[in-house]
Amino acid sequence: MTSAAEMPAPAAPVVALEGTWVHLGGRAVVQGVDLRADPGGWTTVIGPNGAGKTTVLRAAAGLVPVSAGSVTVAGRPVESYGVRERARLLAVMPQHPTIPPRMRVVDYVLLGRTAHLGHGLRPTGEDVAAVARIMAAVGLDGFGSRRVDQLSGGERQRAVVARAMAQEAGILLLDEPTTSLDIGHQQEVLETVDELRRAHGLTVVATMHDLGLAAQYSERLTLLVGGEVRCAGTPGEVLTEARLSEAYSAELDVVQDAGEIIVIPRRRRRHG
Amino acid sequence: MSLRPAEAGGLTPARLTPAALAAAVAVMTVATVLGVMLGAVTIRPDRVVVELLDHLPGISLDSGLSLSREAIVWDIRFPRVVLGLMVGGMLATSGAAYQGVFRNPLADPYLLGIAAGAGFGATVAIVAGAGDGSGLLVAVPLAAFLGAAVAVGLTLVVGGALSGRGTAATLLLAGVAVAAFFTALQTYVQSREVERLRDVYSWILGRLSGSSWDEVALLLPYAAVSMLVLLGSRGALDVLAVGEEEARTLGIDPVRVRWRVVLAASLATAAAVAVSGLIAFVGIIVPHLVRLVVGPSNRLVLPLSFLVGGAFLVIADLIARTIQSPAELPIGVVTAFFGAPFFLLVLRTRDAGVGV
Repeated sequence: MTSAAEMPAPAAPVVALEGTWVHLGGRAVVQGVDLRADPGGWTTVIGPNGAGKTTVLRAAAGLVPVSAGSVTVAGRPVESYGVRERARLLAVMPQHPTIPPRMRVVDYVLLGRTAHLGHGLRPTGEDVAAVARIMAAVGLDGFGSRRVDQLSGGERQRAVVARAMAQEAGILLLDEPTTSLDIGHQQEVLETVDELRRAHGLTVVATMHDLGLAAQYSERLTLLVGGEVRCAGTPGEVLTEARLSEAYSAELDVVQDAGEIIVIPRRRRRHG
Repeated sequence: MSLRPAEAGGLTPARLTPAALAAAVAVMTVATVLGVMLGAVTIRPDRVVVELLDHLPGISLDSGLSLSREAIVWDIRFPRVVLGLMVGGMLATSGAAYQGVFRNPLADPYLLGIAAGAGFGATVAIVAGAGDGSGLLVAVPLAAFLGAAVAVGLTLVVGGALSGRGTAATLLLAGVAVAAFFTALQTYVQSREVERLRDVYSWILGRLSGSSWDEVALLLPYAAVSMLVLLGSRGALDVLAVGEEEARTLGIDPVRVRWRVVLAASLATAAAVAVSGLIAFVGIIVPHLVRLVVGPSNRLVLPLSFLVGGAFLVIADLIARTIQSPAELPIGVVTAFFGAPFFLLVLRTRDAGVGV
């Protein structure tokens, strides 16, 4: 293309799915999805329940086998990395993290250091010091000896963020990071992640249900419906009434005002 | 590398502290001395200690014991105590490792068909070895080991551990099915040879009686290999506590860890069962007791379970051989007598005791 010379050379995407298909239990859950996450950016996959958002994220993390197409992380096929190497490159925050009974916060966050530990997986003083810094950064100072299974929802989510941060990976994959949090804690968790992203130049790929929050935090959105990409672009491009009401089978208004995008659900009109 | 809390914002990660280790070693030492000094003839504890030290290379001490008492200490009681320490330690550590790898507080190598397989193997050997039973000393452990190995192998294949497709749940369910199958076989063989029933039962209920240094030597290589592998996996087991997929994202291959731990723990249990019969509940009671005291981290639970498990079995054996002396109670009766009520207690206080 002739215009390529005039445009700034686009940085190579850090995570790229190209024509990716994933079959789970014989069903094509992800069908030819293209997704690219630019370095240092925040890319969010939105879409109705069952659209395949989580599976796209798991494919990006190399957790599910891809039946066609490719998944590239930092320029190499994701499956070419060893587990350890991959964990240093890419941290995953699961939607429903397994909280081990009675584990203390410090030990939980230290799990994030696993891929950095030597033989025998014994943490050094530096690992513990790194964990202390991260816990302070996410507001868990003084929580070290508390049990993770006894934290409140917001505190627990911060512990999960801290564990992901402890991996010191450049790429952060967040699967519904604000599920089951109230509006204040949703904001708190997303702000924490965004601050860390800006401070460390992290690349964030997330799935989100809340479209307003998705618009606020993401630079690019990909709308997934039935395992296929319906459209991708900036929040302003993707979040239109026509697209959303069709994709979600919902009646809604989209208000775009001074750069903010607000999605408002509307009561369905009853007939008769 | 030492972790000084001051440098790490007051954080103290779970690790085996010298104090915890010393406490467990002390418990084990007390059990050892008690196990050697008590019996039909009581020997003073200081003499026991001196006599045992005398046998260390490079040390020569006089315990003041007569030759016959020396023989009681060194040839009869001490090998039995050492065997108890090894068997108890292996059963407890294997149980702890299984509970970690399957994230199931009730997991125990016995569950993967080992007990039933060993029971079947031993029953066949006992039934086949009619007569005085002198050949049984070799044949029964061997048959029990083979039975256990076949049963656990079958469980691993059926449960999908080989292909990596099976989950912890499918493996445990396969174990239940394999156990039922081997129990049926064993019951069938046993019901055709009712006159050997007593021998079969005495084996099934477990015993350390008549143990000698030969059994210790027989068990030692299995104990060394399996315990080294399990203790080397304790950090990985802590990572597995968050489940297999999350463990993978943290940099651990869960299938490899599961394989390594299941094989080592199964080997340990099969070897222990082969020399001691089926001693129930050690693999469940001891790890849970240890967790109640030190918390859920396998970095502490595995090594401490080994030491406490050994002590537990030595004490159980002491009770078994002294409570109605000169007759001996099967040791499995003692461990189950304490184990079953404890097990129920643990079930009732899930939150306190069950975390793996």
